[in-house]
Amino acid sequence: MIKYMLKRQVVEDILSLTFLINFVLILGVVLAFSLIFLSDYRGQLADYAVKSAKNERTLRHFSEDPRNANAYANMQLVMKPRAERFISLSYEDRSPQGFYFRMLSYELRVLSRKEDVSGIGWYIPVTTREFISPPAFFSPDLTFIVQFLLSFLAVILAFNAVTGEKEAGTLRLIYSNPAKRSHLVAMKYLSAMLTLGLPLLLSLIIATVMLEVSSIVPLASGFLYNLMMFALLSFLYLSVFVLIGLFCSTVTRTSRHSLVLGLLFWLFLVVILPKSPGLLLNLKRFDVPTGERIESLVEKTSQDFQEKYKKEAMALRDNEEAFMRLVNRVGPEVDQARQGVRDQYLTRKIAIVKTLRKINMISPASLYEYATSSVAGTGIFHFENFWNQARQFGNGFISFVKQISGDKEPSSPFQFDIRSITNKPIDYNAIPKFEEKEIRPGERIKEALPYVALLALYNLFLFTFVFYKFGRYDVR
Amino acid sequence: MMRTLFIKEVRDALSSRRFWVILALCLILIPLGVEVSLKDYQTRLQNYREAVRIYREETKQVQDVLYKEGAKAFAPPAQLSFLSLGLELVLPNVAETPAGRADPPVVMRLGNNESRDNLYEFFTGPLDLVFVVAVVMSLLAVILTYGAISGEKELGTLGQVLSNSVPRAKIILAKATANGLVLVIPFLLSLILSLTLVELQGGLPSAAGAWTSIGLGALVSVLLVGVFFNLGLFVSSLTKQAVPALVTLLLVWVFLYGVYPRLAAAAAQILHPVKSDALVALEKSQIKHDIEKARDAELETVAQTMPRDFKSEAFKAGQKKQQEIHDRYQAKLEAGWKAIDRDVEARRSTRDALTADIARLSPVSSFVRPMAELARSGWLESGQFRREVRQYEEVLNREIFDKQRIIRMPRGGMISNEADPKAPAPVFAYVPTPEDDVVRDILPDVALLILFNLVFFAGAFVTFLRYDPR
Amino acid sequence: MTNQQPILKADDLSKRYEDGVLAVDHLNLNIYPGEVYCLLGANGAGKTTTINLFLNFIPPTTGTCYVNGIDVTKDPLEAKKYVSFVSENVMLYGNFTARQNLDFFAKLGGKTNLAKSDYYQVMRRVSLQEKAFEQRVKNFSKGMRQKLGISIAVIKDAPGILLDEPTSGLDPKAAEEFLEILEELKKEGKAILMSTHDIFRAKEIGDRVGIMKEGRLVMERTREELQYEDLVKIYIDYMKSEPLKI
Repeated sequence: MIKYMLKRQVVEDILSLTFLINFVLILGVVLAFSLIFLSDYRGQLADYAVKSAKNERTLRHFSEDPRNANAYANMQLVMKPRAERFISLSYEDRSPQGFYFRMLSYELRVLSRKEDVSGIGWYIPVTTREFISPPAFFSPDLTFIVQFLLSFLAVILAFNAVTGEKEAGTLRLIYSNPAKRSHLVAMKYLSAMLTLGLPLLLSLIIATVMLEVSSIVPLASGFLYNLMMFALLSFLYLSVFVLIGLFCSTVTRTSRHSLVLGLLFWLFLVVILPKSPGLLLNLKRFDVPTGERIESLVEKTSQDFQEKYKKEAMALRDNEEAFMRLVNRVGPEVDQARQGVRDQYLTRKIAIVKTLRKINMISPASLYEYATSSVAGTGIFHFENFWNQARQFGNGFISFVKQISGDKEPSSPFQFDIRSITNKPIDYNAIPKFEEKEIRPGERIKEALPYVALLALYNLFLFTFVFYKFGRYDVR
Repeated sequence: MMRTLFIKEVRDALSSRRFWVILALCLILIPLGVEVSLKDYQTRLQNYREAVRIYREETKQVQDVLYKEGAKAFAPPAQLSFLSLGLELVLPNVAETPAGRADPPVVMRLGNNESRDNLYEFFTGPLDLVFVVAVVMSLLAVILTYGAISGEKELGTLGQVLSNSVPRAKIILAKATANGLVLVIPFLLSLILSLTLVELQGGLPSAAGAWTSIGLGALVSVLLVGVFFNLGLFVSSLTKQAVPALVTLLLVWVFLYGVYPRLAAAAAQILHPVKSDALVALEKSQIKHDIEKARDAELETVAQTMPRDFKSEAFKAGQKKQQEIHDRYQAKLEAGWKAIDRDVEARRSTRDALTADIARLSPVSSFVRPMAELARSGWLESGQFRREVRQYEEVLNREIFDKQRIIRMPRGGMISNEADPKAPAPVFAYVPTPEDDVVRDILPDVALLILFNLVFFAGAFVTFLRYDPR
Repeated sequence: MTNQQPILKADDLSKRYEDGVLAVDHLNLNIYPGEVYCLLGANGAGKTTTINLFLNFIPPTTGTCYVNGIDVTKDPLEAKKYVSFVSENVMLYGNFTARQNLDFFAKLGGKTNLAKSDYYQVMRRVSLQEKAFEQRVKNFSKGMRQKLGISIAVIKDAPGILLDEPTSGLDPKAAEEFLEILEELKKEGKAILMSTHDIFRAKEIGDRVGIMKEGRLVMERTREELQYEDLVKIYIDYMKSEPLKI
């Protein structure tokens, strides 16, 4: 019985105009996004290459004579552009792009998105974001297409599942036969998922082929694996909205009411609700000082130290060796204190973002976004991981310099003693270099797990409700 | 006849709760969005004031500029950013000279501090008026009209109405005006409510220009909602069933809203490519490197001939010669950099103009752009800031940095600055874009929006005249 | 009766759809004031298309429809002043009450100065229950909706009335009541064209009966002639015979 019903439903759906429009336009949008991504990505790779080259030059300069690294020598540790941005852009564009690492110190300052220090002392103006950009909630990634567009289509496909059949009179006809109630719902659900899944999978395949052919994006098997996970997550997410459509169909009497209810649900869950945490940002407990303020707090820390050790320093001012020993002892302490201030505020910001994200977890759209960005290794998860790697690199670099200098601490910038560093050339290949490592798949999945679990819970709850409601539905 | 049709449409809208839903959504979202944006503005204003204060405290004299953190210029946040946050978080709002010793000519480094500090970036953007209009109101317009014609046909009432002596033109006009009011009145009411709230919190600037901007902003918003409204009517009269109309409209919306503007930018970059900024930096650095090399070679030559005696005439002559060499190469460097800058700026502005023109074909772009300009958080204002920064740069260079004097000796050298270290540091005062310039700039977009409205309505009108009511 | 001008006239009317189907084939009809003309035929015979042609919902391929002497394609607005329409499935504005619907359509039909009592009177005349007058139409049964439909035609008071299968789906009592009203309207001098496949009622109420088959009017009989012939037999015979060749 259910086999026939399913076949009929699928054929009916495929023959409908809605399906055709669906198909053509999803395909079109995915292809358009692919083109946009490729054009953006080219630029990002070029920029990354220039920065890497600059870092390399700095290190080569350093390897010739470590004393070339004066107080202002720095490297820019930036996140490597990855093809996974096409799957889920998340905060990649909006989070800090990297860190400004002042070599020979513990200083790791956040690189603001637009502020780029070239190391030569002048500015690189704002780049690709300056053109007409649509309001921020739109991101040209696959997650957006599914999260926004396909969820809408899911509601459209499911809203008249029950009310439509009732109005056509076929509902009574079906149930005058030995057909289980649950079968109708299951069949509607399956056919809707099929109608959505087919264009989606096809578009993903075509998009992957496009990226491959462009030869800009190196498609390792890792990317395909991430894409598969993305597809699975998308099905889980779309299932929620199909069920919402079915739900509306079982609680209203006419198709029109069902559609309006479904649309309102969708508008609320997908468009309005994800913005709500932004409203809470005005509360006191989410207050974080500005960058300027933080830097001036950092300076204050330095001054405090100066005050603290002033007497001692004055006393030793005639004994150069002892004075330098004091500097070498205190210097790193000051550095770490300064960096500690910065780190503390960055940690706090990230904590606030995470708290507000938790509030957002009511919306399946947000759950889906967080899940895909975790799996793709982008977004805040990526930034935190990157920060850890940058910190580790910074510490490792200092240890290396200490080691080659015979374990003498390089001094902090404001008490400058370049003599504590060796001036013998070192092997370029021996210098630690910053190479951002990808987050392991296991960790990414672990990160995504809570969101996936909640989405599954949503599905379960809606399933149960729909089946229950339809069980008692008045088919007349 | 018109009156009858009109009253029926209005009654229909009221009794089917469409009006009430729209009213509720508008009354909640618009004031909420405006309130939140206002709070955000106030935070940014506070940050701005604090940054200026900290800077002014620490940088009072020329020597502070030379030897401490350098000179800084700040742009205040846009007062009307509750209308449109625009590119406040993207375009430069602070300029600074490099900290520590800086070689002339000094170029101020432009940056945006907001993006570092503003957590809104993490939450899919702000809930400003542009968002509510471009997303919520236009979707509501579409939901209101997708079934206007095909829905009545499906119901069968269209046939009943057309069996009477009623001109089709009147039917569609009545539908358009009644439903239009159902959409626009809640919007305007909510807008007035929001503005009152803003006023109560002392947020509205008292300058007359601000009210013009707000008025124009309201007009432009209504025009955009009108575009989607008329588009909905048009698509409704093209289809036999209501649901395909809705699907088509939503996909068109997504395309116009997000896909097309990005495509426009990509197209413009292909048609008129501009070198990426990293490459420009590289070029400039190469030029500087070459010039400095040549300069240093010449300086060395002169340095070899200079005696150790600082007081001798020969020494002073040598110093003068070195200064002349330095100035000569300096001018060369400035000229070289200026040429590159001019070239890049010219190319960039052509490309941006091209992007804007291509993007204008989407009514959403024709809406987003003027709103940003009116709120002073757009490209005009950023251009203004850049121009002011360049002027300030010239002042700084003229009064401080170009007064650098160098002496190059065989082993090392000396750099000093002739400017009076205790003189007060030049201060940056920002002058915003004049109102007239903004209005002139947005006129083509406003005209386009009006055109879109007319074209879509005409389309709906003409199609309906031949619409099959069976 | 025949020395008057026909209110509803189809002159060599033909309609071929885009997909090639010939729905109406050289139809000639003349319906005079004070008569009920029943158009019988199977589904797809062309009855509804004929009515749609009279209402100018679709343009004819050849021929002309006249309402009160006016060509409906040349001056549709003028023509529609003289004709009322009751569709097979009367669907009105569900959120409005019966009176509100009646009020709206009355005004569209040109009667702008009527009072509430006038509407009530008409609704009573068509035997609609009192309590339904101020109820929303979306809760009405089919019988109630049809009655409201005919009341719209009554209140427009146009000389011609077009009815598309008005009694299909009505219970016998409701159908009887409906036909009684038609009889009254006929006596008032209205020209009524009613398409139906209810042979029995057609025989009862029709002054003339025409049978349509595949777009063509194959037979026409007056009431007197039908007294001697069995309409049922004629009808079924025609239905059973070979399809007409075009």
